[in-house]
Amino acid sequence: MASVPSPNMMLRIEDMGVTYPGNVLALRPTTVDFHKGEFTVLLGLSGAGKSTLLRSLNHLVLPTAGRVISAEFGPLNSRRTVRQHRSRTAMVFQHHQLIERHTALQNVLTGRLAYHGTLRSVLPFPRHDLELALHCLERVGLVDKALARVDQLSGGQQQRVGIARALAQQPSMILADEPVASLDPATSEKVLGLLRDICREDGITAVISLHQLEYARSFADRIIGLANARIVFDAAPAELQQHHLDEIYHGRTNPTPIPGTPPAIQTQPVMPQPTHLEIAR
Amino acid sequence: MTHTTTEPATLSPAPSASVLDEHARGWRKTFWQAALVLAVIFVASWYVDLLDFRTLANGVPAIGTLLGESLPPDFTNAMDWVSPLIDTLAMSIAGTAIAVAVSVPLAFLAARNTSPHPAVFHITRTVLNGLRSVPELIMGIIFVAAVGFGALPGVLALGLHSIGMVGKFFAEAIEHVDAAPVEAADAAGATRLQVLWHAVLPQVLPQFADVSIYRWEYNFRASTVMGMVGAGGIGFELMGSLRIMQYQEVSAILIVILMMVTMVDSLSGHLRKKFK
Repeated sequence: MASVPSPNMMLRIEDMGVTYPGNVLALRPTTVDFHKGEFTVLLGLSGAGKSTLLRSLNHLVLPTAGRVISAEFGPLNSRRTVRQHRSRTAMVFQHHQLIERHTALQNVLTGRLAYHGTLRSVLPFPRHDLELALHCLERVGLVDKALARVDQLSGGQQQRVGIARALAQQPSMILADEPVASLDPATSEKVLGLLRDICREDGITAVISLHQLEYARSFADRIIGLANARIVFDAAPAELQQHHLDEIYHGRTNPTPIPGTPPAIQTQPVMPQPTHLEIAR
Repeated sequence: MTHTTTEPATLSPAPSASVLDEHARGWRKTFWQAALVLAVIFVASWYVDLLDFRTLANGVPAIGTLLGESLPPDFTNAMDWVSPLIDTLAMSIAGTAIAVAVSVPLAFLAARNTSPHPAVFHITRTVLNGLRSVPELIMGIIFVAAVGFGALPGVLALGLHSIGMVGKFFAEAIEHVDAAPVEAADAAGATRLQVLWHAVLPQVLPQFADVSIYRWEYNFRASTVMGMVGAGGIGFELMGSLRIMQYQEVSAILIVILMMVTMVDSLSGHLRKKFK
């Protein structure tokens, strides 16, 4: 299983599996390498295991089998290595996970915490961090909202603050867990485009979970398709065939299609109900 | 299975019967619960002689006499109450400050989601319950015995007793914190204390301020009675006038306290609104 790591390997999962309490199998033992500068989309339906895979990459979900190996810090096997790895691996969340009553700037500064000792971080952040945070807000086009409370921003703007917070970590890798699932299509495309452009410019490796095929096709360098807690596809978007899609999008509900009745081509899976709609303010 | 009812036709009779049975059972249960509560109230009232209307009626004239004797309020010594009133106000502020200062660290130990260990959680909760269950008047008596008469024992008693309630409410605010930004700070590689300081504390500050200001208002009211056990303040004057049966002066002091409480109350209401 363990192949020789390629020189541009950033992160490897090795026979890593996750079983949740109650014997719920979320991800079968899997080995995958993520490479430097690659924009990888994890594609699959809810419950296919993409969130579990993504969140285990920084041990927000603890693998119950196998291990995660960072090229920079080695296997994540201690509090210290996990913290080091997390400081260089930023995360963007579906529900942005900002502190709503803080300003955009204050939220972005959270990304700087790992660069300071506990005692130092009780004091105000140094000027260098403030300037960096402002610069990150500028890159996502929100420098004019730096002092606005986050709960005053629209859904798309909140997610951009989430991206700015990730950038403030000066990460070598960004993990994004369904970053556009709560946004309308136009905003989704804007946010994903922004994320990809930034990752390209800075050479940041990105792993992004999505359930919309068309976004995966237009943004990804590499698509990893998941169904039934395992990887069913792993290649460039161009190599994605209809039978792969059938497996990704029907794997759970219809594992053995009845011969003679071709499964419906579901290029646009049903969107989950957005938990909050973007309201123009 | 033919029922005489024509509508609703789609309902099969067996399930609908069981649903209606269940519904009726629910109603009967509510009825008996209400009856039980009323019975308990009745027995308790009878036990404390509240239903002994003759004794109650005999008491009315005595209350009337007392009210007559306290009118009109006598404000001739009003200037002597200024300093005790300031004592009372200062006592309530200092007592609340002690309570808040001790409660913040205790609350993180007493909140399920931030406590380092279940044992620490249980011990801290027990300490908070203990502090809450000793009335401040009893604490006042103990502290008067320990440090002598004056405002200081009042401050200590108010502070210590308040920790019980303030610490518990702070801990509950921490338990209801939105876990999402906490996870985000965690994912950014923050240490445990950094997470508490930068992701938990900002979320609970409005509730902390709200509870603290409410507690200050409560402590002001409580500190008016602290004087009764010799712990200084306006309550001390009130007790003195009561002892020498100067009821006109008693009513005057009560009016002054009422005015002060109203002022503190509106100020605290105003402050609490600002922290939303």
